[in-house]
Amino acid sequence: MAEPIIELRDVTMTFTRGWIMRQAQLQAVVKTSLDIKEGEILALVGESGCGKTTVGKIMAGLLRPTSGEVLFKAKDIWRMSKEEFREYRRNAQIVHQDSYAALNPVRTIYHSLSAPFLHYHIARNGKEAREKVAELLELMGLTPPEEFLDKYPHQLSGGQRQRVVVARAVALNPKLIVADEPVSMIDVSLRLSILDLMHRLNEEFGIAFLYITHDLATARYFVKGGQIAVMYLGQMVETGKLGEVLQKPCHPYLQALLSAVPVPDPKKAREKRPLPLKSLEFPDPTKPPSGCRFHPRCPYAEDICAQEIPALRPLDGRLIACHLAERIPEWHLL
Amino acid sequence: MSVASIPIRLYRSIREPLIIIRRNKRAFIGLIILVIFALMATVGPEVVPLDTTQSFAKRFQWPSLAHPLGTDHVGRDTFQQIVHGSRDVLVTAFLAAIFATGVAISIGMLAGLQGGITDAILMLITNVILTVPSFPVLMIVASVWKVKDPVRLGLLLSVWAWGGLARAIRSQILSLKEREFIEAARALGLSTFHIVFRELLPNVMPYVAINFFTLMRGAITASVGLMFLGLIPFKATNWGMMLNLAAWQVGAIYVPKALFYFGSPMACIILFQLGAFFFASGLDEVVNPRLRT
Amino acid sequence: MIPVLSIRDLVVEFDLGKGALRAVNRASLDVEPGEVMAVVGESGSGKTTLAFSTLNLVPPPGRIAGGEILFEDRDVLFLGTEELRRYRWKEVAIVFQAAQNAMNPVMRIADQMIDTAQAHGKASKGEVLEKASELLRLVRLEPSQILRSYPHELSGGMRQRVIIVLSLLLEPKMLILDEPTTALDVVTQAYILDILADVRERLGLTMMLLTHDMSIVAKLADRVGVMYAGQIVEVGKIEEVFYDAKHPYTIGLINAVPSLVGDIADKKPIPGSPPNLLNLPPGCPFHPRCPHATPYCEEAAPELKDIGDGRLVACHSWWLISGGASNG
Repeated sequence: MAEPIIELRDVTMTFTRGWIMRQAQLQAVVKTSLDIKEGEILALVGESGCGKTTVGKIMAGLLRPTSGEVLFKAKDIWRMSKEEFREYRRNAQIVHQDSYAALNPVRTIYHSLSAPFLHYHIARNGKEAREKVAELLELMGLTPPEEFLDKYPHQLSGGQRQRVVVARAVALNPKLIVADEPVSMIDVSLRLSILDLMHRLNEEFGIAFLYITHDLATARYFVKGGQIAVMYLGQMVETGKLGEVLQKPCHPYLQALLSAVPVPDPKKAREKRPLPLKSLEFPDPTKPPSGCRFHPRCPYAEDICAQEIPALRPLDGRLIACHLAERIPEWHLL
Repeated sequence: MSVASIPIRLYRSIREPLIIIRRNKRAFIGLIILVIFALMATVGPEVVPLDTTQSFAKRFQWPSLAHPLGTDHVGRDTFQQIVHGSRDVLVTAFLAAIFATGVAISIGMLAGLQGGITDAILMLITNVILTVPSFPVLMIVASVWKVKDPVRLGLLLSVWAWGGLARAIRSQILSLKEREFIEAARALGLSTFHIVFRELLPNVMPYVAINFFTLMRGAITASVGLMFLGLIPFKATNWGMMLNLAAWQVGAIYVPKALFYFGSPMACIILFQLGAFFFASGLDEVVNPRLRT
Repeated sequence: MIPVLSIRDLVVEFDLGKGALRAVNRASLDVEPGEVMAVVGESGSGKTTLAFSTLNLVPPPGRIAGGEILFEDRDVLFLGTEELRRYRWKEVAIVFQAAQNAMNPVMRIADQMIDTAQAHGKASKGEVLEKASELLRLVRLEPSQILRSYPHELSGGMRQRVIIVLSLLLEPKMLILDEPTTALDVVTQAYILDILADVRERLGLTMMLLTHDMSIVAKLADRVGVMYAGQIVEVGKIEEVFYDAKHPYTIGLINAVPSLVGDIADKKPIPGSPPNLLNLPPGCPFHPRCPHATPYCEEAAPELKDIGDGRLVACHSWWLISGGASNG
């Protein structure tokens, strides 16, 4: 059993608007725990506003949680010495959704990719850096590399840009890459090629991936035998092996979600009927429901659901946060 | 990176911008005008002699081969004076723009990056500078503090000019700070120095470059205005002083023969402003790689 | 039965100074009365321009450079201003992409309804509001609450439904929807699709649905047209096209979309990159990426042929090709 490389323990992230008046508080992430093991692929799934991007940024060390611990090699990164933090930094990288915003528009591809090599003295001068960057571009399938080195981001296509973004994340050979919706803005016919590329990096270099997405189908494709964690409004509701969780979801939210996902197959699509929810409307994140945040929409909700936040507990080989987990009727995807 | 390769690299880095400017007719004309004035200011005074002998017989002559722009009220050649005056005028404008830009970048970036109290204080200062009407203050300061050379004048003019640019830079920094590519740079562990000077600053430079010329134009207008009102005693060849003398001493506005004496500095000022404006309009494409295809 | 909409050899160009960009390159499509026709294509395929053309709404520097668009039997491209005004919104209405953000933020919904209806002809406020209430109930919204709200007080899903009501206000024969469910969460999306199916049945509406999402198409459409590089390359009934596609791009697209069910190993991306509309390859625009390409494909662009039973394909080798989603 591999050791976790990064672990989030009981992390809460509260955003406050207005530092004098404290107008609105947003608890984007509520007492969440998550860990990624060496070389693992984990899909963090949820809809917009569920906090998955926030969790990703916390894991990449770009946001400091309001409470809780972020452990790298069993040490809290926010209490590390400069040296130790530097090592953590090298090992946790991020791939953004919008490849155009993720690259400096007034710098060439060469500049953006050579910066880490030169900064960490992996390349000693411009000539070496150029060679290394060319190697990296070839690894990403951007050949011939000379064609891309002196171009600006807007001169590349969306797919090519995203490959450059992935290249930058891989440059320092990190242990973990947090990929936040890496293919949502890419043309449909090309999405799998980027996912295949990332999978290859995982297999060849043992890089672990936190794959953040709202698209369960691509999660299934990318993660294959790995793990999945599902979030709703800042709370983790179910985690486990992806195949099992998708096949037989236990949490009512996940059941409703999977019943609603359209399938690209006419016969199956028309057979599916979405599970009814008590309310279609997403609650205002600044005024979240008490207790289990899903309870106003849950068809099975009882009194306790409004009173206490359910903790993640083991059931059937996975972790689920639901007071009534044992009594939720079974639901199968197929 | 040998020393010998410097001229080659310089040539290469100038070549593409030149091609872009050539394509834009307005910008190209602007560049030509600016180059002419630059030559006039640097080389001109060495090449063109200045004959200050007064000769009433030769006053207010029309342009001729000997005197391309005619003569002034005491028979001195107008063209020579224009050439000799150009140096001070352009040096003042250039220095004013440099000082103002330097201050604006420093304050704008510091405010944008630091936020909080620093930002609040710096913006308070900026707002004061922006609200207080600059020209009246300049007039007062000029009459109290004896401004004798272009450097001091440039400094004086820059004090009131940096406000707008500082605010604009700050807004750009505020929005750029949150962008994904800056986040990625932080994730890579790149130093703050790198992020500020090699990621953020280049994004702000297109705006700064164009504003530089606007600042130069403003400085000329302000300095000429001050001289015209007689608040700054300068050499008589300075264009502003020429206007001053022409208007007040000679009454050139009433004397048709003084047309060229009065009109030449004015034409030069206008021409310079136009040149700077045209050139700056084409500059956007040069400095902003996003506009290149 | 004549088709409600008949697009023939449409060409739309955008003049970009350094050359013309052909957003739509001789596209042909028929939409039969009462059906839901989905037009599937990725970004740059030209489907949005196609939709705008049907209402003669292509913004400059774009212009319609050829072909015809027949609504019932009249050529839309030749309608005069007055006729055009009567045609737009009353016969054909369009729901734009991300339209839920295009509502006037300072007007209540009721006023926007009245404004829209009255812009296209005389109608009393009472009549408009009655019709609006009826439609709002059809999309499962409470009229009294919605009509007096401002757009920002409603959620994304509610706003989308309001836009659908706005488009149905004048009882058009045909509704065009451009990516109606992007920016909505999955549960709301499923709900909107359900509602659209409902609306179509109750009002006998003809719909043209533009999207890149194959799963929405699978759920809602009767027939589908596949668009690539400004051309329609395949048309057919939904099950025929999904299970037995004849055009290599269609097959590639179906195989490139992962699903929650089925074998992952069957899925793979389409090699190569999307076409450069300023510099299209000669012959068939898909040939650089096509696994079945022959030298002939580079020479001659294939025409959209009727291969029987209303099936249309634009491929030289269509009879050799078969593929698509695996059945069962």
